[in-house]
Amino acid sequence: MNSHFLQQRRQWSSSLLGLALALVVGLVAARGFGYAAIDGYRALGRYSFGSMAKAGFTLSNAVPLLLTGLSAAIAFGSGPVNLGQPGQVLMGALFAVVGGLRVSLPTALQLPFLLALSFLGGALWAGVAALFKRRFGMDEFIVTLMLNEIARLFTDWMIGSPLRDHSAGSVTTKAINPTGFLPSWGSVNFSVLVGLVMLVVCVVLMQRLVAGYEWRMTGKAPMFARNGGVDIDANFGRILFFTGGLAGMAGGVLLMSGSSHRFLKGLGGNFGWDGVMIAVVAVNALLAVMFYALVFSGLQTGAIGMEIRADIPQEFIQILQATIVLVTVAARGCVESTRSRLASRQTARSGSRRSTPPGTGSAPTINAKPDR
Amino acid sequence: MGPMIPSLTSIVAFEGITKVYPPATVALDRVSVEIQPGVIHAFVGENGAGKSTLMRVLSGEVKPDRGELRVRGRNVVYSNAAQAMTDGIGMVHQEILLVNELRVWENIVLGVEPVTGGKFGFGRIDRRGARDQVARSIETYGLRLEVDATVGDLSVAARQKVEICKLLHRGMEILILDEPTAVLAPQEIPELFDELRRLRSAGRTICFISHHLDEVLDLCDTVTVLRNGSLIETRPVGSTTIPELARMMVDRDVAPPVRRPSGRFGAVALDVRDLSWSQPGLAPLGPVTLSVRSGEIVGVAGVEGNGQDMLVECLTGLRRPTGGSVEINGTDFAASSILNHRRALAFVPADRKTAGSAGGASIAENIAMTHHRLTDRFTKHLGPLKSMDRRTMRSAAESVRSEYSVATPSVDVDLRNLSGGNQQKVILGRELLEDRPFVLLDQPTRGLDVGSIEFVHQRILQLRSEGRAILLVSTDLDEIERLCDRVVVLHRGRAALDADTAGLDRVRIGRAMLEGPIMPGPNPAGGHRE
Repeated sequence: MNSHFLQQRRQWSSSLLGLALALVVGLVAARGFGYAAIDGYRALGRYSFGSMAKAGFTLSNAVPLLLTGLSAAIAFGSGPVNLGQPGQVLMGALFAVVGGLRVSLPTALQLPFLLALSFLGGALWAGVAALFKRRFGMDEFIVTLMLNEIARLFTDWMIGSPLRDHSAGSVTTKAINPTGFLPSWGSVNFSVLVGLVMLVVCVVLMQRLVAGYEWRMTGKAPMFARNGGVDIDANFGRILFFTGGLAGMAGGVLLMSGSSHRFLKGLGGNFGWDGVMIAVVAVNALLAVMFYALVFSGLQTGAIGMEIRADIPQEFIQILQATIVLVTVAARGCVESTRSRLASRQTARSGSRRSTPPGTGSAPTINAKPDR
Repeated sequence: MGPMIPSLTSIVAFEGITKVYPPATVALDRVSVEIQPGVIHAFVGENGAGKSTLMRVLSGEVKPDRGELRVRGRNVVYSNAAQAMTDGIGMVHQEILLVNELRVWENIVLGVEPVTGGKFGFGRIDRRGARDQVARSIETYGLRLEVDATVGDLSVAARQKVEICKLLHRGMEILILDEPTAVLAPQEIPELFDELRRLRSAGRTICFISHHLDEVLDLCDTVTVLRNGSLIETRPVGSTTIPELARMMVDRDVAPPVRRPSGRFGAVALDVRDLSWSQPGLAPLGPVTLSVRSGEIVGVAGVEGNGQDMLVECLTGLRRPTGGSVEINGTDFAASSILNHRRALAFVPADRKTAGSAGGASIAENIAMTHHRLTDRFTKHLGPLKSMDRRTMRSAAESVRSEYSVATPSVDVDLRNLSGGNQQKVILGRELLEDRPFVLLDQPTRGLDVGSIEFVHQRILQLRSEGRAILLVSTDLDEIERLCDRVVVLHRGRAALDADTAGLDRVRIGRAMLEGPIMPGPNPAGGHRE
């Protein structure tokens, strides 16, 4: 049990090290471009977590990141390479906007109804990839990726033609019926609650339920799961459906919590890909996804401060995000391999063969490596 | 035989070589060995003794953490196999890596093709010249190889020769052969040995890894015994005996497990009739007919790739047979799902790491697999949902841990942190957690250390006395002779031999492995291994 927690603690500590390192790299880079980097960082902090109101925005903005991050993390951790979050976000928003325009229930019903619709939109869209895999053996990795483009073009056409609000100057739909607006308390949007509920749902599903157990085992060793009697083909479809739904919900949340409550062109922003990046830095761990969603959200909401106070363009944040992913992943690998190299060198020097590492037990440890 | 020349003339010298695999697996512990030129030098030891690691230090694939390597009196540090090859050192691995679609000569010149004209890599390959060169090499070294044959059509023995010829063609003077006889049938071994002796006469130095002591005494001049990563002794073959070497290898007298007297078998538990599987473009299976009675161990022998995998997949439901029936205790499972099979079947797959377990999951999670579907106690109801019962998972894992003495600090650690033997114990423990009438074991001891092998063997015999029907797929004839009541030899997907092991001649098994069905009677031919 101790070694398990030790493992977790190491992961966290090397991740935080990576994060700090990435921020330093960003600082140096910003300096290199001739910006007032220190001032920029200060502004970044102040505009993201500097006050209750700012923190509220950061929290609310983190919700779509959390949802797309969970989507990618659960998919990657269970096997299917679902890279279709951008398209699923758009399809989720499309379903929600259609429902929000056509249906008007009391708020208590309308909100869950629209969220469910957005889930369904993303899920069905991901389901297309599952279907193609089942019927034609096509790789979901390519199909989900291609579906992103189709979803973009399709939603652009939908909001530009059948659903277009011709009274508006830009390409957009009308605002959805007000009962579908996610309420705000100050700067904190109701979507934060939605995000938390979905996080709990995901954690319970993956860590407690039989389905999550099977998904995780399939992700780690598909042949093992199959030998064990798990129907990995059926699970494949379910996983795509569920993770597509999560990303779709991000689209619903964006629509329902935004300031205009319309499906504007470009609504999905970069939330889909950011979710993929978050899953990668979080190594598909759900709580780490939440952590990085907050970090990314903080960077994104603080970016405006950087621009106002230090003249650092907002785009710089994109670079910083990518740097965090790269440096954190690299740092983690580096720490791991250095640790094991040091350990083996020390064993070689001391020549003591009796010492066994935690988790290896007392049997002749030589057999851990195949003799070859 | 066995000239012990003063160390001044040694062609290779290991001095105090230590290799630790991260984090703290000591594969070699201050090993010093000298290899004389022009001899066949055997390296023996059990799995995990370090013989392959030591050889991979020489071939440049493994970098030692401490110690020195001298080749022809010069200190060398190789960081890859290419560097060792410039010193004329090459290794033939157990897995043969050839292009099946290409001819023998094409495989041999691959990477060192003679090129005419052209610059910057745009020349033409001199195909005729290359073919002739290879033909000359084959003749010079006296290998029995067809230069124009397509490698995919060759036997494993011939492919191994292609690998050897590849090294010779590149001018290698020190050849390392990693358990070359492991993939051969008994009859193919003498021919390989003759060829190796010819190479020795031609002045080549050969390092020969084996754990078959009879082979070592037959072929080699010098023998080095390793145990647990440490050097035990190097001595001339002439001054040692098999029992002495065996003692050095395992540090105790190994007694083969005593089998229960035969003749107490129950009813037929597994009844396979005319089982077949075929698909265009793939080697077909069967029709195979075989049966296992309860309390009986039946071995499935054969050269690897003769339908064992298909048979296992058809018996477990991973593949749906295209014909025939698979009855377990009277129920036909041929068209059943995998999960349904598991109600009557305990299954230890050959590939421990990918098919038998999930290394990235905890021991408890590994133990729960399959049972979570078939046994109520592993799950509980969470409202309308079903959740895993962690307490049961852990307690089942704890019971396996103590019953099988799995060495681990806790059942919550990831399985990959355990040694191979302990991993296999966990897998066995899971599969035998519930009483299933039929137990299918696919290569259950491959790659394990001697202690674990003995443990697994004892457990199999215990199952036998409990009255289970056991089918043991193994490429290790020793294992089959030791454990099995009956042996079925697969050859090209069909049963070439189905006989009681009592009084069965190994040569007959070997012939069935190589030549297929044999009519009972006339002269047994081929080599011998005892």
